[in-house]
Amino acid sequence: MTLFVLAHGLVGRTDLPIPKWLFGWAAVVVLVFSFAALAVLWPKPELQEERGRRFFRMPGFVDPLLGLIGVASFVAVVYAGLRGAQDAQDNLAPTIIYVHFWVGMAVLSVLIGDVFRALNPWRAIARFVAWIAGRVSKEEMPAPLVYPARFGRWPAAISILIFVWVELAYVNRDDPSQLAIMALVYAAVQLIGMSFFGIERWEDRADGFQVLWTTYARLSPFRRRSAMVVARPPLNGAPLMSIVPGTVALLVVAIGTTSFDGFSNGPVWGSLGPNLSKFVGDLGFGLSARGELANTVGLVGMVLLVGLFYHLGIRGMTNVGRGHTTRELAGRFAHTLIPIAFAYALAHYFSLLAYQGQALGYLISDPLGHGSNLFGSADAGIDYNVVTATGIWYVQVGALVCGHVAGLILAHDRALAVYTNPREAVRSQYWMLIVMIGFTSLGLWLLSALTS
Amino acid sequence: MFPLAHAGHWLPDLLIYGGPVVIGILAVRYADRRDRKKDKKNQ
Repeated sequence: MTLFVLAHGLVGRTDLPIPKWLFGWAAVVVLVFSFAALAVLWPKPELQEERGRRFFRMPGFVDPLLGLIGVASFVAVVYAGLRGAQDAQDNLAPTIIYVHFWVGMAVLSVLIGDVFRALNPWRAIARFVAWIAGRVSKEEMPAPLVYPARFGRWPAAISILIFVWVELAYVNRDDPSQLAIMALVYAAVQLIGMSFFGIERWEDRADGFQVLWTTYARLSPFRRRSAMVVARPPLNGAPLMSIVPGTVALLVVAIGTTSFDGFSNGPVWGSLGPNLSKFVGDLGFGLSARGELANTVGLVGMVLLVGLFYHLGIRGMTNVGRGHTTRELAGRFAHTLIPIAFAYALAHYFSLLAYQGQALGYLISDPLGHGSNLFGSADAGIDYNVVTATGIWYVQVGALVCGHVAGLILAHDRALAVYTNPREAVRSQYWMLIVMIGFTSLGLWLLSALTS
Repeated sequence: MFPLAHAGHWLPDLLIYGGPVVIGILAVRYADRRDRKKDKKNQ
């Protein structure tokens, strides 16, 4: 992404107080100690049932208001993309889509809960249309079709994969008008899906962004229960996630695509990518298709690699106890990947959010890039001193370590529920510890390669 | 095709970040075998 190269490629970190290898090994030591502490101090499942207490009642006007804000933002982004200057730096659309929507919403979901459900523009439009239709029609509305169980969360996983393909591989990834058209197509697909299968069922299973952020929101200490906002222990929502087909795929896609974003900016891909691109070119593909195909191979390869590593870890667990298959355990432990997926996203995109996120200040005053100054902030810039490079590194390492410790906690708690014998539960988690160490090391390597 | 020319760059990283994974896998395999032997003895 040329637009965000500056935010991704941070300044050198030669001034770190301790060498980078020490970070890698220290992170592993933290995980091993956490594992040992859980084995000794966490003898029974604590997170398998929903807990929490009522926090406050959400006023009735908030949902329609947030829905309206969501629709207005969507219209503004699409209009800016279609009618504004076709330059990624000056147009509102690319920054809003790649920074505030893709990264910011993930962070908000973990901090304050499933806020996108209220802001979701296509859901708001569908609910409004359903409300109008209910008022106008004298007959009862026909029941939606039954959503095929075998589809599960696969449509969501595929949607996210396509979105990240556009972000990382598509040659016109920061072309505002193309982004606007793709946003319209995505919204149209969601509206058609909701009209067939019902609004909430579709949103819970097939709308990639909604499903991913709802999944991240399971880590949040807040959740909505109709009009009530409930405060609950953090992570309590994750074990309650339904086990349906495509759940592991969604989380593996989230981790694998973020990994490829880091990997593609590192030295190994810097050497491998051009060779692959040349190979594709030798097959007769054009210039732009070469890069796209090479990146597609890398992207899909990384997703498959992450999936394979998780699968191997789960397969190791089947050695413990009797009657557990890899497929069954892969589903039952899928939620342990949620904090890892979020940690990867936060670690990788934190600098993008901290720096490029500030661009909203001037873009909101000049969304089309035509020189307007609607709110008097068109001259605002990006303050690169808002966080130091060392500060960002600590946030990244902290996110990775905390995310994987959270994954260990979730896995340990689930193992205590799956295995009747606590000793077997701990033994089964040896392999999960390796999965967590592997993902932590991969994450740290990607970050260090990006910044060396 | 494999970036051997840059091995000096990625090989140290492989040791730093791959080392814990390899040591971990070996340790888990060892612990797994030991526990299974114990289980057999107890049976």
